[in-house]
Amino acid sequence: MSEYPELDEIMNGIRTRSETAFATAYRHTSDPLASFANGMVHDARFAEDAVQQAFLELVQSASTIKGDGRSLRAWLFRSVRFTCLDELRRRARRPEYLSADVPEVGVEPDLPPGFDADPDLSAAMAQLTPHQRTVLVLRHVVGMDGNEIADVVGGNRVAVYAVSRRAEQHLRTLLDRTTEDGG
Amino acid sequence: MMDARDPMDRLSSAYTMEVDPETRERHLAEVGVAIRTAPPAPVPVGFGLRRRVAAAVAAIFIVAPAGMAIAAENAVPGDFLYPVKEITERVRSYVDQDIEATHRVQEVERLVFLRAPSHVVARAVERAESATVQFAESDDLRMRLEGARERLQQLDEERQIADGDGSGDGRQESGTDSGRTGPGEGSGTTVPSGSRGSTQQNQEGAGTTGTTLGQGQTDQGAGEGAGAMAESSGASPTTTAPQNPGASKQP
Repeated sequence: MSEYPELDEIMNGIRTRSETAFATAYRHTSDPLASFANGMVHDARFAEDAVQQAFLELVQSASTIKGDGRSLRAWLFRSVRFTCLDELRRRARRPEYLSADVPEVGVEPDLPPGFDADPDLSAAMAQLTPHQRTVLVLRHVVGMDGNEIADVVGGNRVAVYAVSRRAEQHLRTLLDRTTEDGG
Repeated sequence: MMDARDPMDRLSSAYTMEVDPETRERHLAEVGVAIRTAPPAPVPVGFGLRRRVAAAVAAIFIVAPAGMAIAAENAVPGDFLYPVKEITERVRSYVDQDIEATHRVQEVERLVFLRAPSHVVARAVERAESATVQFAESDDLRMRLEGARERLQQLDEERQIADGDGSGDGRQESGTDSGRTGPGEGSGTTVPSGSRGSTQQNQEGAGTTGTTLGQGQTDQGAGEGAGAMAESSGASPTTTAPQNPGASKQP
């Protein structure tokens, strides 16, 4: 059916809230979901919470989930996206948490490697709009194509590519500037 | 510090992460708890757009016609809803053979009760007769029809009396006898406004006509009993024909 046969198979289990179906769904989606959230908020701990939040919401809405595995995946990404956008708004109101480019105090040593290994990139990403950031992360971190991204953020493939192009351009410009300043 | 890699590759390596195995176990356990504590049979709640549309469609296609059919139940020929009644009747006749005959007889009864014009009632009686011949299995309907017919006859007679008086339905123009009984004619003897059409009025009024006329109270609904007329004509300088008192009907 879709490009996610493992998810296609468990759709009935999801709708009837089978625990094994949820475990399968989690195994196949948690890492990309966490990477997406991490790319949005630059916070691995928050990213994990967002993934759990998405699955708890899925438990509530399981019986209304329609479509195949691909729709399920898009549903979960939408859930994480909303959680992240809320968090970004919340942090914008409380600027002490907005220091994404500065390594956080009290960061746990067991955080995944690569976290904030690229402060320049984090600083540049922080200057993009949330929508641009969403599209860039879904495309280059999660590896979705235009149609899948459109399922998550709304709109269509063409609009997604347009946003993506401009966001990439913007990000390159920002990074070049930082490089020049630093050099 | 210069990073030579393409920014999009940097994105991937900077943010790609895996959920910690320990965290994963914790998440799955909590999802399990959520599944077990969730209401077992989740019924979609609320009154969503889809349901609202469905309700509107039901209202248009089911409730409204049903209401119309019910409202048409008592329609008589000539009514706005009578065609609706005919349609529902055709359908109902599949299960109820008597329905047509019953309806026809009911219509006659109703028309008689409403004092419809006699040609209308006559037509209804005709239809009722053919319907009862075809369908009626009991004598009940025939008896009802007979009763209605009798009542109709009674009414017709009353009407004829009224018409014979010339004032029964007030159709006669004043002025036929204007030489003798014009509305403005004085001396308190003018035959007053005349009966206003109903036969009851005629009959009830008859007893009081004499005094009424004598007092010249022209706005009182006075009858045209022959005796009364005799009295009034006796007092009047001009003679009013008993049969044409309505000539003086005033607006």
